[in-house]
Amino acid sequence: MLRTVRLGLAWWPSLIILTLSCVPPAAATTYLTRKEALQLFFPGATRVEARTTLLSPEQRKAVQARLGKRVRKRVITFYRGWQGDNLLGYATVLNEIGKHLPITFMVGIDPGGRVTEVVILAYRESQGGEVRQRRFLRQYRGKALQDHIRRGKDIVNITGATLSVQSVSYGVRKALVFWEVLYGTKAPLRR
Amino acid sequence: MRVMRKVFRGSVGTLLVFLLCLPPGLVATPAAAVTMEELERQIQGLQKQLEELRQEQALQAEAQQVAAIEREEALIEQITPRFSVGGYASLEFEDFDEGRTGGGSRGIFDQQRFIVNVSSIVHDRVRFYSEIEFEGVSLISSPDEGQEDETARSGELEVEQAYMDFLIADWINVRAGALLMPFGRFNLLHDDNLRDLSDRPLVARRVIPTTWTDAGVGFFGEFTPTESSLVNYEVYVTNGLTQFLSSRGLRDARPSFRTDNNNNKTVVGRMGISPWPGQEVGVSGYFGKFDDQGDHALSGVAGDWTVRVGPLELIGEYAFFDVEDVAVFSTTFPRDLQGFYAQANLHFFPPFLKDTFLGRNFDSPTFTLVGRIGGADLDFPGTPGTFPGTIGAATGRDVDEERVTVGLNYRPVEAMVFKAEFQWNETNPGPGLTPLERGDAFGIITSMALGF
Repeated sequence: MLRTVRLGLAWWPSLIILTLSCVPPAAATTYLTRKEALQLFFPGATRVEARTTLLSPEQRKAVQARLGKRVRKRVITFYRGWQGDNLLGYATVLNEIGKHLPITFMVGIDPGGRVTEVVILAYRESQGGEVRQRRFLRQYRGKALQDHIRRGKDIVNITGATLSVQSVSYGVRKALVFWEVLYGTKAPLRR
Repeated sequence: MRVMRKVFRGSVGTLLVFLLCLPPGLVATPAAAVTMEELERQIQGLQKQLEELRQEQALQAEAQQVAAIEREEALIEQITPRFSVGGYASLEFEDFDEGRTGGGSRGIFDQQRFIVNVSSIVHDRVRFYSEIEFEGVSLISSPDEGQEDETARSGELEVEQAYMDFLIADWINVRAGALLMPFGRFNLLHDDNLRDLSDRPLVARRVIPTTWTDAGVGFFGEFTPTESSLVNYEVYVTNGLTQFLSSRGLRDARPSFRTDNNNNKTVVGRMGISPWPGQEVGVSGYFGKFDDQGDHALSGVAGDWTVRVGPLELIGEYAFFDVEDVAVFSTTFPRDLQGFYAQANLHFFPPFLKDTFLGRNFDSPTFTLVGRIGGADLDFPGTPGTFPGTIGAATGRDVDEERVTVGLNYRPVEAMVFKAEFQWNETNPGPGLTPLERGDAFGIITSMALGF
């Protein structure tokens, strides 16, 4: 009897493996391609154009002054989504270091300079990946340069993923500043 | 292309100068009027060509930009390593009075911990993470080397985590190796640079033996029942705690990674429910046999919470363990253990400090004012159980220790923290029992920790 029970129990690992084999797989590092993200950001767009700009020394100074720190990036690409002659908005892709490795994410900005959406395209570290959750990223919607966009102020932190939260928040601010210098009007910046 | 444009501009300019230099009578003749029309047509044609060239140039520039973006993306993937090395280090200074139970320590610098993390993403769905701790280590040597008093310089070298993840889906993944036990939240987030106070709570040392690691295998995952909520879980089968309980808690019962004293596996798990980002309630459970014969159970439950309201953060944990028939083994082992802590953190940074050395050039420097109460209570065979906080009411063999801490810390950047705290302790050990940690001592602790 006992032997029968033991033999029966020996089947459970096989059962688990069989069940798991039916689960659709997930990727750990790459969540969306740039193309998929642009489709998400500009639904119904008739065209999406990319414009890469080499910042002039004055523009670079302006970006650094607005962010309050040195910025190495000299070239920035903004995508613009159009529906006919109607400009839907802007989007840009940034890489910011989380703890050790870069987090790649796309920031969408409406023609008025407010964040429409943020999505993580690639998260490469083994810890702190909670920042890719949509419920966390929704916090950035509607933010503009007049907002703090800082952990613990208007962005709720995630314990154990603090550096990633900080990096994404800084990246969103950076995207807005680049947008403002290239396409927008200067708004008072909150610190 | 540039040469063509120059030639074109040059010819148009020369033509115009030539026309302007012609005598007026010559220009006014009918034959000359025809020539003028012809010239206008030619100029228009050339202008059209110029516009086409410009458009072609713009298209080429756009193609170059796209190629540059593609190169940048490829480069990021190429230069991004598939592994990372990091960790943290901490140094502590404490000064406690002796108190009536002698739990004091006078002015000690303690190079608490040096931790190295090595992690690797072997594949998008396979990853590895490890944490190796050098606690108070100044020398690592084999016993054979027997220099004078080497043991006085020795510390502890410990693998705190070393596991492999096989990712299947958000809601279910496999983890195996040396695992941090998901019992309460503190054990999972115990790093010095993450915590706002230097000392760990009593419950996280005497009841939950943080840092608590065991070899095992299990599942973890998360799912989102609604758009704003999240449920996460970890559940593992491990070797389990051993029968080396002590009158001061479960710390000595932590197992090795290579043996199981009773060949009876333990199940441990935690489920966290987060209705909104930043808020979470967790429930944990532990069940397994602890004695060498595998006849007696050690079972535990724990609850933890994290609530954030603006700059205010409320965190805490409660844990309880029941030891079945402990009197069979020893009357010096606790029959049950329980403890809790509740902590409030207020994050702030005064604007007038922004341009001082505390704020200059830092993006988000932060001060945190911290208050914590907590305690642990161990009941021994032959006495009715008491709850932590009932010091003075103990009628038999139990030991209850309580602690109140008030502290302030400063983080110039998130990875670095300077902490200072005052700590009050109170205890009431029963006959023949010793205090759990610091007895009745009062003291100060300062520390700094840096994650890298």
